[in-house]
Amino acid sequence: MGFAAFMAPLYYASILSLLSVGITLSYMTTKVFNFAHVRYATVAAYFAAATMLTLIVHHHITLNAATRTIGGIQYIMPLPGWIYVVGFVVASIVGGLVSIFLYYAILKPLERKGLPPLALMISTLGFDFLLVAFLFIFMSEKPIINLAAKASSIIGTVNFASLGLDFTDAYIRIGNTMVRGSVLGALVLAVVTTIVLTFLTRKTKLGIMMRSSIENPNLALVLGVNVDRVFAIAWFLAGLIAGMAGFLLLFGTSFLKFISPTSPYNSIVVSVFAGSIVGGIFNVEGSIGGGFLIGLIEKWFVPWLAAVLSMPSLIKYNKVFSMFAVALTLLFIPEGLASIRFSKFRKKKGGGEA
Amino acid sequence: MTNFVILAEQILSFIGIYYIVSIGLNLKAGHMGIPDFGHAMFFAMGGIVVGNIVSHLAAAVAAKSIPGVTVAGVIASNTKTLTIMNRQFFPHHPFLDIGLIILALILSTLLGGFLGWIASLPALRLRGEFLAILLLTVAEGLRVIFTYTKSLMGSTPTVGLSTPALFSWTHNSGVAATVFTIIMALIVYAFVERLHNSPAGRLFRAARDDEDATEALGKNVVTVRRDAMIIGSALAGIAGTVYALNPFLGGGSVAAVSIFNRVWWTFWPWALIILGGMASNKGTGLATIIVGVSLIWPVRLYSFKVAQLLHASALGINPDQFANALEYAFIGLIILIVQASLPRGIIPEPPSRTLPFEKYAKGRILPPESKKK
Amino acid sequence: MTLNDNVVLKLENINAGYGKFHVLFDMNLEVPKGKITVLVGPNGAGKTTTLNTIFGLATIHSGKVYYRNKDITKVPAHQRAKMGMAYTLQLFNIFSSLTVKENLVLATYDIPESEAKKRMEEVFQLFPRLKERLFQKAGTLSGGERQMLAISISLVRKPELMLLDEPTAGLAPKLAKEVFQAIRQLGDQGYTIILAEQNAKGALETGDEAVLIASGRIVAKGKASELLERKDLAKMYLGLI
Repeated sequence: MGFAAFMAPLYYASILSLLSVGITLSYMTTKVFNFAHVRYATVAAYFAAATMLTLIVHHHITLNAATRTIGGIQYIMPLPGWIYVVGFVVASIVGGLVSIFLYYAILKPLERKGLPPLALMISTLGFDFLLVAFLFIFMSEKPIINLAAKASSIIGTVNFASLGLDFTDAYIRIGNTMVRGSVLGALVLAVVTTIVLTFLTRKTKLGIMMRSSIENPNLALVLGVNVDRVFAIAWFLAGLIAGMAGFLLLFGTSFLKFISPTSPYNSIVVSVFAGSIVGGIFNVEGSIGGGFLIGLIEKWFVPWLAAVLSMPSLIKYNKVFSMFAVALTLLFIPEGLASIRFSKFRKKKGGGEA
Repeated sequence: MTNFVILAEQILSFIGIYYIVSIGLNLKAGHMGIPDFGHAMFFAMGGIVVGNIVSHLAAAVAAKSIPGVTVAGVIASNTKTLTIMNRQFFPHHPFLDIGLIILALILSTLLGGFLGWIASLPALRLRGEFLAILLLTVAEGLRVIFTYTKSLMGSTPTVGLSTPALFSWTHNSGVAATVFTIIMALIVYAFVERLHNSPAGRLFRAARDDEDATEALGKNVVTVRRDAMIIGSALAGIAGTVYALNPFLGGGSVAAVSIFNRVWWTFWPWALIILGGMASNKGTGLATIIVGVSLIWPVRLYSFKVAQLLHASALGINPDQFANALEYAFIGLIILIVQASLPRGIIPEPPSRTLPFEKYAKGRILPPESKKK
Repeated sequence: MTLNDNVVLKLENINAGYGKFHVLFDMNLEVPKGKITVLVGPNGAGKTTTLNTIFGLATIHSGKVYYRNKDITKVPAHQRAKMGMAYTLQLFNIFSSLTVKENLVLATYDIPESEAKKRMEEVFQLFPRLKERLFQKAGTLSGGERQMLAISISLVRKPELMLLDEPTAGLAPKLAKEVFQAIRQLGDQGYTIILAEQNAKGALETGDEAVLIASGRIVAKGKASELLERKDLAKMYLGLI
């Protein structure tokens, strides 16, 4: 099988792992499952799209579909590079800010009132609904509708009610295949996130403070760690990574789904939780692996199984496999795959099949 | 006038159905402390009983006398078969219809309870948020199975199955369905109030508040949790049946996207029980009434007009999306405001009523020592 | 407001508690420099709350806390740690899933590495047993060793004011004695210590100054040795006779 067949599964798996890690980061610190987390990606995608389209309209940039070569590598980049960079930065910052807003404006005050973790989890649900409401209003604002109309006349159909910027995705030639920029970007981002977070949590002062705050918040406080701020940083990071995933969602709608206030949230939120739990809710690297694993199961293993068993309808039932993965993990290895100690081969779970 | 009647019917139907489904969740989450985030799947069982099983049974009877109706046709050509039956069969067989309604209620109780029993198996091992996530995932898995299995939910997930019009024998089936919905809600209310003050209800709350102490008193917490899960889920199943039989909320069909909808049947009930007060049956009722009236009357009815009003101004909001946004904002704000200002709800959990002391002292029930005197 | 140079910490008319709960009433207290001040009193008297108030972990309803000539009533807890206070909690006072060494490394996260190493060596001189257990998980230590580690976590930060909450709770008499001896040694080295103790006899024998707290109020103050002699108080509050 060529690389092309792996594009959609790899993209999906990387997106899931980028989102799962945030669920784990926020759960580890505050012991709250964040229902709004996946929505950060949607919010970030909307803001990134609005920013990029504004720049396109303002500078009157047209799409450049020509295949170009740099250093012997062929690539297609429909928009100037800096627009992608701006979109990426906007998406990640918006994701981070939304997350930190939830932490400081809602979770902290409610926690101080003495609400238990379960009630806090429901409050994240409440915040999530407010985000949806905000997005519904945002996308139907006159400036945004005007923006979409202007952008459509320059680069082709743009519609904020079912947003997708697939036609502005970049390509790069690897071997014989033109690889989608969103696929490569998602994959690279998942790997970079793993490395950066591993370094951050194990080697830096912030990481030490974070680990001590998670292990024993009171003792960390007594040792002079500003536990609230450390947790807020963890939440910000979680939102930042979700925002990056949101940026990538814009270009991967042919793999996943168009973007609307409720999409792709409704179809992936359970898989994201599944990735986080299967990989290990107390382990950052584990959750990245877990998200990847769930992604590969849903988009690669199940179709493969369907082909082998010649039962094409099986593909539609892929979420059932995630359900079983979560059930089995929670019931038998509650701390996830990362908690298993492989005495002979110390190998990270997930990604092994790729 | 007719507009007013329809509005009243809509509001009452909303209140009745949401009361039953929320009280089922309240029994699990409020009384027993099981954070069920998969409540929609139990609700869906009730919808499936009506849309699938009852239609099949009715078709088996109707096939003998009505041309064009076959048992296989219920799934294969669902809309056509059900339209024929709704026009030519159900209006003329009132006793069969009533029998089918009762049968549907019994079946949905059993099916909801059975699924609740299965779901209680992991509920005995897991606690807190983990259980919530597991139940959420299981509900999603079940939704996927039902969505794509033709023999269960018909060929298209969004259209689903038409429901039999079991109230078509009455003069005004809308009024009849509304009255039926309200009666069911009242029966459920009487049941949970009784349960609340019964030894079983006290045991639920005792096990919720302190498992170890309850175990130490010789009660098996595992069975208590299982019972709460079964009863709560069975109530959700009943709510699903009532919903499927109701023309205002159900709209004459059940589809996987509507009956398994986690926003409608899991998160809304959560918002309602938080608003009403956990483990408070009256509170849930009041919350359902407040939300039912304000959602259907001002929010749904006028949001479109408000949006049009705003649309005329510089804002330029799409009315449809504005209505949608308002509903989401409404539920989100309810959750957050209630949690911030009245964490125990509008009617906090009442203390359970025990035997009045005077009765006790008068010696109707005497403790063993005093009898000896 | 300036404090006498010999006074490290001062509580002035403190009314404090947790949220709406009122625990401490009109408390006035001065902690002399380089001395061990012992807080004794029956269960639930407010000893731990006094320490929490000093460290900013309780709610202060009224009154002021002064530390080194500064009003710190409103300073958050984590900043008080940076100002040279250290607090050894009564429970969960070590990172039990980490090794002894990692515990000490965590405690010195804001101190340069070479300095941290030097301080650790000093701590090991006081508690040689910890050095033997360096790579053992803290959760597997015995009760006495845990308390030693907990005190060490404070000690490596070279605090100007050490708060110790019941360091001998749940220890066998022999171990308790060892811990008291170590605290006395610290006092002799010039550390300023506030020691809250249930074990009144051991604490009063160890300390310099003593404060007797009952029902959230200070009942008696004085030299530790004198308080030990007061038969009436000993009988009424401390159960010594």
